[in-house]
Amino acid sequence: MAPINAGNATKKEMALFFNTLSCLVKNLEKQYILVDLRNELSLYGKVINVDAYMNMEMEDVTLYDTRGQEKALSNFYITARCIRYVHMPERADAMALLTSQLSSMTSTKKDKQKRVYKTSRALRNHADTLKDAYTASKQLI
Amino acid sequence: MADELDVIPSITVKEPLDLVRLSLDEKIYVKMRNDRELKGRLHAYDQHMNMILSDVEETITTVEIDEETYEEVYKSTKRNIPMLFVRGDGVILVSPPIRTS
Repeated sequence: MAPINAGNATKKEMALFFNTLSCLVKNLEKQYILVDLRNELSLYGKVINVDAYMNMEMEDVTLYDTRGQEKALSNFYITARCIRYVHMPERADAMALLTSQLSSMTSTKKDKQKRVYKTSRALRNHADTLKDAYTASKQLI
Repeated sequence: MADELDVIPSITVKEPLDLVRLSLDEKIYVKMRNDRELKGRLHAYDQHMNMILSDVEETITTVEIDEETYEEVYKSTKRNIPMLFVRGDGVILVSPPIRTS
């Protein structure tokens, strides 16, 4: 139930995490799960990484085809559009996870960037110019 | 009588997905691509129609042609999945709660 640890996610990816259900798949990282693909293959393995588009990186994968044949693969990368189903652990509570995600949302906001001298000087000069313009317009009236 | 009616919150359906929201925590029917059908309890959904379903019954319909009579034989296989994440791009339609009598 930990909030997503989306290390180097871009702003767009963060938006996707908070607006779609990909955060629930993200939460399955480090777990062994079963994924059904669109080409009728199933694979069981440990999830390493999931991005906001739901592309998945897995390791220690066993691949099952429709004839029931198995194949063991050490690494596997799945593009999002190949996924049909992801079998979630039975105890997963979608609502509880989503609410915890939302509560963690405020804390992910970046701190205000510290102003360097250059920007504060520029702002000060800008304020002065505005003040001058204002007094000049007053005098005209 | 009028007072009683006022107490009931009016649920407005403004956009199509509001209808899906009304089906939250209810048993729904989902038609999928590749002749698949799902029946299960809806826990969550998003704008792509990604869905979390529990107690899912998946029905896969396959057509086989009888070698002697050349008739099309429909075969359906079912399986049960306790908790399933369904990716939205495979969804064709979502039908609101199945009223079980």
